[in-house]
Amino acid sequence: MTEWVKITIDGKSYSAPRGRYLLEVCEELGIYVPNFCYYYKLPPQAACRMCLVRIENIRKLQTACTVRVQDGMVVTTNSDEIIGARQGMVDFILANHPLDCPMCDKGGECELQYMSLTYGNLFGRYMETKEHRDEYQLSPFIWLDPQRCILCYRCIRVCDEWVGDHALGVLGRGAHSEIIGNKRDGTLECENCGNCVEVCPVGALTSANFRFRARPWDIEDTITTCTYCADGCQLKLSVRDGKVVRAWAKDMTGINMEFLCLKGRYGNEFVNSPDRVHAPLIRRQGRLEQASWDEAIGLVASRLKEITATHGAESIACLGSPRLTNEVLYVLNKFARDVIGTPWISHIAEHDWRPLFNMLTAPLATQNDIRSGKKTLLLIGGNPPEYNPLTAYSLRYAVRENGSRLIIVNARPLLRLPEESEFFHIRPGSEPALLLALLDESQLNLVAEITNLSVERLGALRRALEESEDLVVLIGPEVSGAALEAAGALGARWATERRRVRLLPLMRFNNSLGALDMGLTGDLPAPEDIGAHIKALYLVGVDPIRTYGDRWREALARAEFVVVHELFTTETAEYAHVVLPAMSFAEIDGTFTNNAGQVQRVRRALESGGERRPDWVILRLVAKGMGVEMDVRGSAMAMLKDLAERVPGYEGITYEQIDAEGAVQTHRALVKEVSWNDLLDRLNAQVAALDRNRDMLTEPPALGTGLFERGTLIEHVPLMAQAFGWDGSRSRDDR
Amino acid sequence: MFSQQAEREIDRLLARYPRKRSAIIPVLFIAQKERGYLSDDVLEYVAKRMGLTYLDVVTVVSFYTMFYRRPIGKYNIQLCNNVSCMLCGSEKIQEHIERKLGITFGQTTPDGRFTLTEVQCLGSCGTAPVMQVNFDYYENLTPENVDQILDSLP
Repeated sequence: MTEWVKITIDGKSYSAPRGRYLLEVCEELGIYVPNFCYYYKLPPQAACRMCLVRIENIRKLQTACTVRVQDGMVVTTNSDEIIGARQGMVDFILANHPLDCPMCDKGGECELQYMSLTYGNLFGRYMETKEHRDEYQLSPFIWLDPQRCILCYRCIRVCDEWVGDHALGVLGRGAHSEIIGNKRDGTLECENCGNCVEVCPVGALTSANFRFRARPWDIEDTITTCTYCADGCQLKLSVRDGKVVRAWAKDMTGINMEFLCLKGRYGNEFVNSPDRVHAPLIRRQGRLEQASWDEAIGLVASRLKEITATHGAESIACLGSPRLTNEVLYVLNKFARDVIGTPWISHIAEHDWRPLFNMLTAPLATQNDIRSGKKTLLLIGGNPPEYNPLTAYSLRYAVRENGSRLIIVNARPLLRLPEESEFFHIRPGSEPALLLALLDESQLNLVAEITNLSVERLGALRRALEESEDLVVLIGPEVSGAALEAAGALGARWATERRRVRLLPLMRFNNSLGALDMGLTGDLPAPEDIGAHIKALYLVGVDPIRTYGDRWREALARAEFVVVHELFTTETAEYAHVVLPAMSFAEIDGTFTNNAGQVQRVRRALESGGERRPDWVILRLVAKGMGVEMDVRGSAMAMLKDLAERVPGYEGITYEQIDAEGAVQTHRALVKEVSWNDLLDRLNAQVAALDRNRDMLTEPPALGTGLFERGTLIEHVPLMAQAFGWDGSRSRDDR
Repeated sequence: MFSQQAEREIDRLLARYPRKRSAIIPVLFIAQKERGYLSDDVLEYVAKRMGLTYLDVVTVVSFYTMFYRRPIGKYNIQLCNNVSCMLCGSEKIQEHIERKLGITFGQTTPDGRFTLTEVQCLGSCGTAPVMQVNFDYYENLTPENVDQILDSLP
C-alpha cells in the first residue's frame, strides 16, 4: 500500500506517496523543476545539478532528483538563491560546450538550448579557453561529438539499464571526462539500438541516418506501429519532403515507453528506396515489363477465372505475409474464400503457434503485465534480446524496478538479460520434456534424464512456480506441437485464486497473431504440390524462396500463373507473371495485432509515390475484374468496423478506443475443460521421440544474430546495407 | 599472467566481497605492482579475471591519477594544483620543477628517474602547496626545499 505524506511546495500543501523522488512528485503536480540528467525510470545520477531546490532545515540546496519525499517536508523550488544557483550550473555546463547552435544537429529540439535561454546568464562568466575535441563515428549508426557532451550519463544508464549492453562508459574525470564505447579504440561494438541517441539531451550523440538531414521544424511526425517483430513498439516516423528521415520512440505512452531496437529505429528507410516497384509489371517474352493497372488487373482476373474453370478453385493458393495489416489480411481471407473459393489461404509462418491458441487457458501477457508489480517470469526457450527486444527490455525492467524473479530455461545461456536471473540449462530440443515436468510431477525422473537437469533442480523449478503469486510464462519457438498445447494449458494447471497466470508467445512478425486471427491458416501447400494440383499462386507480400529456400524456386517455375503484390522485385517476383506495386506500412492506415493480442494503429505517414495502391484496394479490383463486387467498405477505418463485427475477440474495437488507450487487447476464448489424459498422451509421445543424446551447448548465441538478420525490407535500408556489407562495400566479417 | 603470489592475493580479494567487482581497485594495485603500469593487455586480463568488461576496468583506471597507463620513472612527483595549493604558489613550484628536470606534466626524464604528474587535491590544504613523491608527502613547498627534497632522493 502506498503511504501518503504531507509536503509543502512553494507555500502550498500537497500529499505525495512516501519515498518518491521529489523531482517526480513536482513533475506530477505540474511544478516544473529544470533538469538534464534525470530520466524517467533510470537510477538518479545528480550530475547536472539543475534541479537544485531549497528544503527547510537542510543547510545546502538539494538535488530534487535524489531526495525522497518525507512527511512535513517544506520545499522551495523558485527563489533568487535558486535562480542564481541554476545560472551557475548552466555556466558550468557551458564551460566546454560550443555556442554554435545553428551549426548543431540538435538545434531546435535541444534541452540545453532551452535551459540556457530560460535559466542561463545572458553573459557567461567562464572565461577559460574551451577544450575542443573533434566529432567521430562510434559505430556505423552512431556519432559522438564529445565537446557537446554535458556528461549527464543518460546514455550510459540507458545502455546499462534498458538495453543491458553495458557498451558505454566515461573515461577520465572532471572537465576532461569523455563518453567512450566498449572497444579498445573507444568505438562501439553493440546492438546499435540507438536508445543512447534518443535520450541525449544535446547534440553529442547523433544518428548517422538523420544527422544534418532535417531540422525539427521541417519534419512531420506520425505515430505508428513498428513493422518488424511481434512485440509491436510504437514509433514516431519523421517525414521530410516525402521521405522517412528517422524513427524514434513515442513519448513514454506507447507499450514500449521510449525503447526501440536497431531495426525499429534504423530499419524504416526501405520506404524511400528507389528500388521500390512503382508501377504494375507484366511478364512478356520472359521479361517483366511495365503495364497499366487496367491491363494488369484484367490479366490477373482472366487468368484466375480460366484456371478456376479448368482445374477448379482449389488449384489456386493464396499466401499472405504476417507483416500485412489486419485489414489487408481480412480482405485477403475473404478474397480467397469467397471470390476464388479456395481453402488454400495461409500466411507464411516461421512457426505453427496454433496449438497454443487452441489450448489457451490463460490470458496473454502484455508488456505492461511483465513490467508492473512483482512477478515470477518464466522464459522457456526463445531469445528475446535478439528476436523480441522489447520483451527483453521489459524483463530487465521487471527485475530492476520490481525485484521480479526471472527464471530462464534455455539450451544456451542468453546475453543481455539480468545477472540476477536463475538459469536452468537444458539439453537442446528438450523443451517439451520440461513442459511435461511442469504438468506432471510424477515424471521428473524421465524429464531429468532428457533435459540433463537433476530431479532436485526440476523440483526447485516447480517450487518457484508454487511460490509465485503472479506468473508470466514466455514461450519461445523451440516449443512446438503438443508441448505448445501443454504451454497453453499451464494456466489451467497453475492458476489458483491466489495465483494469476499469463502467457506470452514470442512470435516473430509484427502481425503473426493478426494473421491467425484473420483466418489465415498456417497450412501451406508443399512445394511438390505446385504444378501438380496447385496451378496458380496469389502471393501478397511474401517471398517463399527467401523464407523456405530453393525448393520453392522450382515449384514457382512449375506454376501456371503467379501473381505477387510487392514492394520490391524479390526473388519470388522474378518468377511472377504479374507484379502489382503495393504500399508499405508507412503509406497506409490499418492495425497490427502484437504477440499479446493487442491491436495498435498503423498510420499513414507519407504519400506513396508512383502508381502504388494499398493491397486491399488491389484485391478488390481483381475481384471486380472477376465479376465479384467484394463486400468490403471503402476505407481502412470502415474495414476495422467490419472486422470488429465479424472476427472473434475484436468485438467493438474502434480507432477512438485505440487512440484513447494506445493499445487494445483482444479477448481470447479460453479453454474451460482440459482433457488432461489426452493432452498428456500427446505430450508423452512427443517427449518419447526426443533425442536424449544431443550435446549440451555452452556458448551463448552470437550477438546480433536476430537483430542484424538480413531481410527484404532491411536490405533496402542504405545504412543497414552499408553497415553490414550487403551492398558489397564490405564483407560481413569486417564488422 | 602475474606471479603466483599475486594471483593468490587476487583470489583472496575476489572472495572477500559479495560482488566481485567491488575488488577492482585493490586488484588493479596488485596488477600495477606486478607490471609497473597498466597496459591494455593487463586491463583485458583483469577484466576477464573479474568477470567484467574492458570498458568497466578502463573507465575506473582513467579516473584515478595513481593508476599509470604508461611506464613511469623511479620517482613519481605528484603535484597538486587545486585551489588551495594554487593560491599558495603551486604554479611557481610547477615551473621550478619543470625547469629543473626539463619535463612537463605527464612526462618522464630520459634517465627514467622522475615522472611529473598533475594530481587533484591531496587532502592537505593546511600545508599547501603539497606534493607526493611515490607514497610520501612533502608539504609547505618552496622552490628551495623542492631542490633539497629531489636532490636527496636515493
